Amino acid sequence: MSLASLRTDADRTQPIDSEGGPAEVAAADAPERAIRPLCWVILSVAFGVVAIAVADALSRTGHGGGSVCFWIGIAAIIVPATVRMASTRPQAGERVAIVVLAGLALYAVKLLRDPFSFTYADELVHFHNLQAILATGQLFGGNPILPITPRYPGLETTAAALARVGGVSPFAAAVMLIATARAMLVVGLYVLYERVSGSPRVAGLGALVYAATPTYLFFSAQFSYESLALPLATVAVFAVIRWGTAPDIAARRRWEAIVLTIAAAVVVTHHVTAYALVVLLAAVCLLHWRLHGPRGAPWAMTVGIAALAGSWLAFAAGGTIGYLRPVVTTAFSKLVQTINGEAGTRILFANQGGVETTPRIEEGIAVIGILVLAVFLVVGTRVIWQRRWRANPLIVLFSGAGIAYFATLPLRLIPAAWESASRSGEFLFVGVGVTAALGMLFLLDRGRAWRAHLVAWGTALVIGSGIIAGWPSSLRLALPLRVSAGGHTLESPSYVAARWSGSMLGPGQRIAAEDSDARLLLDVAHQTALTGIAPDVDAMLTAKTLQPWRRLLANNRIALVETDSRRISQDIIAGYFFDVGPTPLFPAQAQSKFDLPNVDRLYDGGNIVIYGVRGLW
Amino acid sequence: MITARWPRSDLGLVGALALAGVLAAAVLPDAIGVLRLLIAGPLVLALPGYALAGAMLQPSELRGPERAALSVALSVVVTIFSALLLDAFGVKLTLWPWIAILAVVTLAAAAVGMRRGHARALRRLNVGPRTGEIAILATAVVLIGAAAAIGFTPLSAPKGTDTTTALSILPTHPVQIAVKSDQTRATRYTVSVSVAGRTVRRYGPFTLAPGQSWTRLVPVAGKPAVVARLAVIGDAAASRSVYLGCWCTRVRSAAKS
Repeated sequence: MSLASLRTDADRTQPIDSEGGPAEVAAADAPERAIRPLCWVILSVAFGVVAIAVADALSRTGHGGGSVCFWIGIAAIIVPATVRMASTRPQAGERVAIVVLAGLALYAVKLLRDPFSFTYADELVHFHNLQAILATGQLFGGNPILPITPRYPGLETTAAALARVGGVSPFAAAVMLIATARAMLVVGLYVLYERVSGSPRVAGLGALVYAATPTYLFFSAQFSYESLALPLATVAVFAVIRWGTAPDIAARRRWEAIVLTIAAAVVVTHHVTAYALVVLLAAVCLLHWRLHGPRGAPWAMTVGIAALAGSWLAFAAGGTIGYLRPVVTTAFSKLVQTINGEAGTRILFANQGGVETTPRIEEGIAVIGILVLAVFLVVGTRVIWQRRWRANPLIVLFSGAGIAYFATLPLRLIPAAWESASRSGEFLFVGVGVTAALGMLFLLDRGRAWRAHLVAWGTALVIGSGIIAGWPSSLRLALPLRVSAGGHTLESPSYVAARWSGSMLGPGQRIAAEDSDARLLLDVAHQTALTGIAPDVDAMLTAKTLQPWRRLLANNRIALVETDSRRISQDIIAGYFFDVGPTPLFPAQAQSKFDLPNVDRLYDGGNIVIYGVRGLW
Repeated sequence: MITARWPRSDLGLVGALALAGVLAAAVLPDAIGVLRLLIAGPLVLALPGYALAGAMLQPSELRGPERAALSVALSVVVTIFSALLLDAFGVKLTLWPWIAILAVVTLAAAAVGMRRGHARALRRLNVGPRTGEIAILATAVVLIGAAAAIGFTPLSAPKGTDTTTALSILPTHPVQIAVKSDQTRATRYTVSVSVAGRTVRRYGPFTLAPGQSWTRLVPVAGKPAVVARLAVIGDAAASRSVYLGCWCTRVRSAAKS
């Protein structure tokens, strides 16, 4: 028996308006006439990308005005696209073109921020795995900074294949893959929303609204396993709907095979996305059981995907639980402590340390954007309820995800729970997108033409709010990583030190370093870089005396130590760049404690010094 | 059911593009990577999935965007599982094993799809842009090119940028001492080297342009304490020092000497 409750308006051939009735077919542009408005949207998006490039260039060279250019660029990308999408005139092909354009343009924002190399903590870790696959031709290598990542090789495998077959550098292959994943995500959302709502308009608006996920612009655009797994999972959910609406058993079997194959790829690509997919399907099954009885729900697929995820966990990625457990338990304990008043709250709109903050005006815009999104969601939920779509478990779950998203917002005040709340937004926003789009359409169709512009600016406000909430203002624009001087290109001191260690000492050295330096030593110099708290390299490097830490050096066979007197070297987002102006330093003893007779002081770059410390074992 | 002869069908085109991809990967060197990526890249990101969707599903079952999403997703699936398979059998993930699997899967799936009558006849796009529209699109292309040019070009450093000079020493025989100047303007340096407490060499003053390096080899017998000091002319605070105290650092063979 099919999952008949998933059959909404999926097989309609005409677009519907917000009331669920067929829209005026005559309103749609003929294909030969549709290209003109699309051209204007393309031009506006291109202008937006140039404005972002100028914003980054101003920021990289220390000039003001970058933020204004940035927001002009974002508006140029979002507003015309939304105005056109809100119209009844575009055909499905144009709508898809617009969501892909906007999706790729917003990916370009991340690319233009980091045009020379990866600078996000996770992508530097994954990039090491990619380089290892290309160097050794084998999977499941080691990663000293995040050992769990090579056990989920889906992302790096695909990038490695692209680098090999396409004959491009690993960086170019990785960028190409994430751009493709971004296009897959927005098209996946579009087809998912279209099948759920039966409306290309809702689908297009929903796919655009998804860009308001706070992590969408930067975090989800990084070369990290979730950036590929989430688009794959979105297409898998779309295939589940097709399974549910398949006309016969043979078609259902084919869709079942497609779901299981794509889900298997999700399982070997990213742990949390695989578990989220299992939870979503389990919730669909249970809700379907509650609403329509047990028959017809995707039980077998859910059990199958859960079995795949469990098997991978048991036989290939056993360390996953140990990796995820501290994140969850710490978040929970900090939540309890904060509720009991035993721990302080986190500064909103700032980075983890609270150092990088956001201007008040942006904070105000973010709050207004969240309120506008809440209005869209409330209206959208009402539309779902009134249209009797409440019998469809998937759309009820999507609506519930919208409510859950708002429920997670207070967690952003808890230091240890902030990251979990932020990351969950990527999954919950799949529901937010379609529910908000239904609300927007309802409001649109009740007003005059100018309301399309109001809703478009409202959408831009919502997306802007997500951008503000997702990344501190000072880290949104490019920072100087490579500069031009006297006809030469100079790299930041952290890069220079990493390159020196790789080229002069050779790769594979066990070296302890601060968090940002260690990632460059891993990627640029191919060293076995140790950092963080296991072993407690962070504490050793900042300690004023060396004696208590000699055993750590010996036990971990640490041959080299890179000290960095800049406090920002502990920042895994901002620690890779040139310092502009005075920078806070650690106490001098933290570095000088290694200046001992039985040590080699090999490299002195001012703030960064590399020691050979085998003599201390 | 839609049937089409293979040369003018979508699955026939997919097969031809797959063969073109194999040829491009074999013939085109990495140096023209963009061209090779354009021709061979779809073999990783689009063609296997398109062919598989064509083999499994009837053309009427999928709309255009759905076919696009499935094509990319299934291609990624094929790429991931072909790598897992090759790795499980101990085959190195080099170009040819990979490309062989991707091409075979694509061609086989396209053949199955055509055999099942799932191939769709190719149609001309019913879009004829007018002069004004072409001008708009050309402007957009120029703007994107400008954005790329601005974005990918290293620019001058902001005022107050903390640039650096690095002094290094290698525990080799002879001892290698090097200076790399990453200052934004030409800078003058002196270097002194002492062995077992006695100054044995003084170099400079010498001038290094931005990005320029300076290297000297100092012969020593055994493993004495070697100290090198760098002074920056006109900036006493910017001195550097390195030393070999234990000669306990192993320089790996892959390192440049």
